[in-house]
Amino acid sequence: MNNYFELYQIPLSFHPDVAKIKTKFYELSRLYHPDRFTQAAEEERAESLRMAALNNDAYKTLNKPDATMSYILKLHGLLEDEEKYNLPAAFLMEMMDLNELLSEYEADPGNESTRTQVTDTLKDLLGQWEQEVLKLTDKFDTGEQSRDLLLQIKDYYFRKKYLLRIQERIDKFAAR
Amino acid sequence: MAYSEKVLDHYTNPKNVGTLDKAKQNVGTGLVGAPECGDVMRLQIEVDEASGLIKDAKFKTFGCGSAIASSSLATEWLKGKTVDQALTIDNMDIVEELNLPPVKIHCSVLAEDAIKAAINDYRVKNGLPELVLEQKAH
Repeated sequence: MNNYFELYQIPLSFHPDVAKIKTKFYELSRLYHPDRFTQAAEEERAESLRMAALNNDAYKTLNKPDATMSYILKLHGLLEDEEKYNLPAAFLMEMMDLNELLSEYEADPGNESTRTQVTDTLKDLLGQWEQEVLKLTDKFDTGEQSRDLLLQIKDYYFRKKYLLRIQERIDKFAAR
Repeated sequence: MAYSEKVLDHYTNPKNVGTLDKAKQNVGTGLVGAPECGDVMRLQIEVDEASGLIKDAKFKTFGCGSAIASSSLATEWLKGKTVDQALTIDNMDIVEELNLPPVKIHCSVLAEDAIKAAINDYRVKNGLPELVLEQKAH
């Protein structure tokens, strides 16, 4: 077993079959349940624990598209923890502008039109993100598994963090 | 996690927040981001052409308290330095001054990156070769 996809005997994909993942998760949860190993040898018990933990991690990862994306990029050696990744200056500028606009709204919460402008822009950007990523990941899932394609996906993986950060700011301010 | 008093001071009372005219030849603008958390930081320097000293520095940071404090402190340190002196500002000096905990060291790296990006922007605008910057892990 080299990876979560192999563990669940499903094809490596950015959009794994959710129902199948669930079935496999329950199947393996039963198989490696600690109760079944109370009488087992120490080694076997340790192995069952390891597999149970792996099963949990696999389920948590493959159930979430962003986590699956990060996992596939890491499997291909294209993403590291705490990686310093440079996005194009134009994108950072766009994020700066949107953050500034959000600050304007926070300073003057009565200004509904500023709020709408921020939320609409963010919604558009997130929508575009979904569309672009779907195009790229579909290409990958249908066989074009090139490094170049994965690097494009990686770029989008990092863009999402900035978009979610702004979303988080909006939500936090709304809940104040 | 508790912020140090110096972080809190820079955070609640940040120095030099604002914008300089990026179209001016003697203004260098650095825009950097921390991809893991989505922080963005813009740092600008204005160089006095006669003396070669940085006469003004401004920043705008969207991020956590440590990122804001790091950029605020950076702008304070930049003023009065030559561009070459500014290049020697090291992120670990910021860590030390602000007592940043290990999990927040990447905020100081971001500030150092922003300084270097601003300097490079200034250099390119003024016909100087762009510096190749060493990559520090966040």
